[in-house]
Amino acid sequence: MSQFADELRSLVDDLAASGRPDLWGSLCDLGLPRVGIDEAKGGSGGSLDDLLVVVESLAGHGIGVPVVEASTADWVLGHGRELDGDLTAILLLDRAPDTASGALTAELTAVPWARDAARLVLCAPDSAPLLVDLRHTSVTVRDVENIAGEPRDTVILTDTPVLALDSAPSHDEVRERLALLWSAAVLGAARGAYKLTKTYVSEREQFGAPLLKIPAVAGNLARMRVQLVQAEAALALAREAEPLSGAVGIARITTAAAATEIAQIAHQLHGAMGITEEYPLHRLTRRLWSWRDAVASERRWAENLGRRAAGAGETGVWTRITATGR
Amino acid sequence: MDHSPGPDSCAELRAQVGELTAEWRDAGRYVPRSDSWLRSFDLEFSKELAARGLIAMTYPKEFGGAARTNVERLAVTEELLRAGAPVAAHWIGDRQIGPAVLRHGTRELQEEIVPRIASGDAVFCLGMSEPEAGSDLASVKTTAERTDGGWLVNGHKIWTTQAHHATHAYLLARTSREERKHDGLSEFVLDMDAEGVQVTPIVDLAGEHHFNEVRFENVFVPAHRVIGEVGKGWKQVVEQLSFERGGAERSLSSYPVLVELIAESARRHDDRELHALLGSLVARLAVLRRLCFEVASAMDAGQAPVQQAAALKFLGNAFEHDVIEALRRTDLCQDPAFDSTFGQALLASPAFSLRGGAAEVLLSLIARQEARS
Repeated sequence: MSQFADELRSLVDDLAASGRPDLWGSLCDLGLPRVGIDEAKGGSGGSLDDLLVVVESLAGHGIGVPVVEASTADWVLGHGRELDGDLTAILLLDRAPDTASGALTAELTAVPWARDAARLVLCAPDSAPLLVDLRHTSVTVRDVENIAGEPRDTVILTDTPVLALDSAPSHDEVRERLALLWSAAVLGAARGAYKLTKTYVSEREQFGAPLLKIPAVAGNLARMRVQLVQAEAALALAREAEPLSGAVGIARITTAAAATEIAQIAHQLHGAMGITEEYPLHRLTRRLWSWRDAVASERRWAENLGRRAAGAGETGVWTRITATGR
Repeated sequence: MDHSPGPDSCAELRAQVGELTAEWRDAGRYVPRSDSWLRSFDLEFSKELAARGLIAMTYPKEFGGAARTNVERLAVTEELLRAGAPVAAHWIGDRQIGPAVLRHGTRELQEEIVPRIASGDAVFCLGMSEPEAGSDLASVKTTAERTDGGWLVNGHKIWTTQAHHATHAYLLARTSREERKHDGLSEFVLDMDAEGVQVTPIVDLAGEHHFNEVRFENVFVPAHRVIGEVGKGWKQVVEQLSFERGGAERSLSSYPVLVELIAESARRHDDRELHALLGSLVARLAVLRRLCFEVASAMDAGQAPVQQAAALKFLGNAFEHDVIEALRRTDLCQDPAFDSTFGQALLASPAFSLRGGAAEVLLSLIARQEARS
C-alpha cells in the first residue's frame, strides 16, 4: 500500500465532506487526477498505488468524477507530450480503425465524459493510440448516460483528422491500467455501500431492537464483509503482480462478483429506504452496477482467464497461483 | 527476528514434496483423492514426511521442529493437498495441537508431546464436538474434576475424526460451572489407550469410517496434561480455531475435481461457457490462496487472525462445493463411479462447510466482530 495512503484518503474525505459544487475542479486544482504521472510530464508525481487510493476513496463516497478515464488518458498522453489543463477522454476499441488518410469517420458509443472533454484518445490493439480533437467542427457529441447518470456519450466523427501517438503505451497496457483502476473504484464503492448498510442496521430499530440483532440481518452483513475481504485480497494481488500476468483480470472478476452481492444485500437490508432518491445508497449501488462491467464484462474476463488456464494446464495454473503473494 | 522466507526456500520445499509424492504415487503406495487431509490415513507416509522435516515445520528445533515460517509450511501443505497425498495421520496434531501446546502448555507438556507430533508418533484426534452441543462449543458438558495428581474426565464426544487410529486426544472439558458458559472450560491432552476411553465407529454416507463417538468414563488425566490455564480455555480455543480454519485445506478439498475441469476445458476449446466457468473458479482460487498467505503471514507476525481465518474458511468451502458443481456442466458427471474423482468429492462434500465451524456459525462470528468494530 502507498505510504501516502492515509494522507490521500483524508484529503479526499475532507473534499467529499465539504460539499463543493465544483468537486472535479477542486480535485484538479490539487492535482489528484494526475497522481501517478511524472512531474516532468505535467503530472503530480507519486505512484500508481497512490492513484488507486485516490480512486478508491472517491468511489467510497459515491462521487462520480472522470478520475479513472482522465488519469488514464493523461498517462497515455504524458508519454509523448506535456499535459495542459484540459480534460481528455479515452476509449478502447476492439480493432484498429482505418486512418490511412489521416482522418477517421466513425460513430463511437459509450465514450465517457466526451461532452466535457477537449480531446479523445482511442486505443486499439496492434496500433498506436489515436488523438482526436473533440472541438473540431467535424465532431458531433450526443449526450447519453449510463445507469449511474454518468456521461457515456456518442461521438460522431466525419472525416475528422486524427494524430497517431507513437511513443504511447500499448492497447493491452492501457486496458490493464483501466481495469485495475476500475477494480479499485468498485472496491471503494462496495466499501461505501457496506459502511452505509452497517450504520443503517445498527441504528434503525424494529421489533424493539436494532435490525442488527436479527440473526439473518447479521448474517447478511457478514456476507458483505466476506465479499469485501475477497475484493481487497484480489486488488492486493493485482497491485503486486507482474504486468499482463492475468492478475488484473482476477481483480476484475472478483470485484465484479463482490459488487453484485454487496449491492443486492445492501438494498435488501435497507428495505424501501434504499430505493429513494434522497438516500445516498443508490449513488453507490448504481455505480457498482455500471462499473463492475466497465472496459470489459466480468464474463469476458472470466472467459479469457479460463481459456488461459485451459491452455496452461494444471501445472501452469498452480504455478501461477502459488507464485503470487510472496 | 526476520520471519520472511525467501521465495527460493518455498520453491525448494514445493519441489521436495513434489518428488516425494510422485515417487509414492508412481510406486502405487497411495492413490490421490479428494479430501485426503481427512480421509487418507497412512502413518508410514507421515513418518516419511517427518523424517524430511516436512511436519512440525514451524516448531522450535529443540522440540524436533524445523523452525520455519508459516508461509513455508503453507507451501508444503499446499503441495501435499494438490497431490491428494495421505496426510490424515499427522494433520490435526501438526496443524493445531502442536502450536496450541507450544503457545500455552507447560514446559513438561511441551517436552512430552511436541517431539512426538514432530516425529509422527503421536496421532491426534479432536475432542470438541458433543452430541448435545453441535456448533455451540461453549456448551460442552464433558467434565474434568480434580483428583489426586490430576483430573477425572467423564463425558461423550462425537464426530471425532480418526479417533480409532489416534494415540492422543485433544479435549475441551468443563472444569467448573460459571455464570458465563464460556468460562470454566479447560483444554487437556489425553491418552487414547487410557482406561475408560471407548471408541465407537460412525460410518459416513460414502460407507467410510472416519468419524467416531468417544466416551470417557472416569478417565484419569495427569495434572501436567492441562494446556494453559484451568478455566480459561475458551480464549485458547478461539485462537486455536484460526489455525484450524485458516489453512489451504479449506479451499483444496476438491482440488482433484478442478484438475479434471481444467483438462476437460482444454479438450473443449470452443466451449466459451465452460471457459468462463473455469475462469471464475481460477480467479476465486487465486484470491483464496492470497488469503491463505495473508493468514500465514499474520501468524508469522504472532497474531491469531480469527476473523480473516473465518472468512477464508467460509469462502473456501463455498469454492470447494462450486468446483464439484462446475463439473456437472460437463459429461464427466454422468453415472459417476463410486471411487471416481467426482464421486469421491461429491460424497465428501457435505462435510466441507460443517467441520471446523458451520457456515452460519462463521458468519455470526464475523458479524459479532463487525458489530464491535
